[in-house]
Amino acid sequence: MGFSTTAGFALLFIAGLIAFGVVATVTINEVKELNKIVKLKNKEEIELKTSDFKIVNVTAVNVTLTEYNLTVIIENTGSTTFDCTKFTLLVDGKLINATCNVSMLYPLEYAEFKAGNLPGTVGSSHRLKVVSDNGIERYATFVVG
Amino acid sequence: MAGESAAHMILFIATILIASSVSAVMIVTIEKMSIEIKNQGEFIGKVLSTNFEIINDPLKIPNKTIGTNTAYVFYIKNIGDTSFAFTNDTITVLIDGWIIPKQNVTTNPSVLNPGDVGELDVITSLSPGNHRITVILENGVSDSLDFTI
Repeated sequence: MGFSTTAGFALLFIAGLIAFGVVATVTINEVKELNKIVKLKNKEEIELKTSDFKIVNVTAVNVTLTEYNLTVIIENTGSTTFDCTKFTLLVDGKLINATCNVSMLYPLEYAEFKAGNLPGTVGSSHRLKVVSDNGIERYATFVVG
Repeated sequence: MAGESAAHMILFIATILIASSVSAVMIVTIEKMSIEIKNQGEFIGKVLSTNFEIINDPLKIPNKTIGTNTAYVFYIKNIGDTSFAFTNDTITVLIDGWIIPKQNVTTNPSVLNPGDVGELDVITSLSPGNHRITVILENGVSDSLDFTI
């Protein structure tokens, strides 16, 4: 009877150890992964707080009676670098295809976005919205000259 | 004497059987629990790394004609770290609190990678004035935009 009880408890103890080992391993791995993601999120939040840009100049020159070419110059006024390929430009609420003269926009540097053959006549007023890769948004209005 | 040994043997086997059964149940339960912890961890990780924004100009919501209907065009930008599915099966669109049926929602492309902008066309009729659109992804991450027509 005494041996049976001991053997039973020994078996339960070993099974308990195995189970604890499995749970501990999985939990530790997941906590490590979440910790990595939380650190990344914190880094991104700091980056967002230190990111900023401003629209320095907008030039719209007509090329035909109903179309114009747009040039937008922005300045990185923050302390982080932007990926220019991930900027988005909206004119009058519509997404436009624009090319940038640089791929990365470093702090205190300027980037020039160009878009061609947008609809608009001379003297017409338009709204421009520029959105950075991390979601910072800036607005400007311009008149086609 | 022989009877006592047999009784001990039976007791021993019974104890081992019970202990084994309890251990097996315990290990299976714990394994299930660990799989659940892993899944939950992955889900939380994905939610934390998913982020998007409705980037429309709230004063100028473009519209277009789809068939005989008018659709309002919204632009969704992935500002997170992971890609997410962008189809009318995986997102929910609410305008002024009302769910838009998925057949009235079209998306392009079907997957939004970090930094990409997708187009969300919503077929609905909106009266002039202020409105609010809310887009909810399949993992519950959402964003709203107040706009005017």
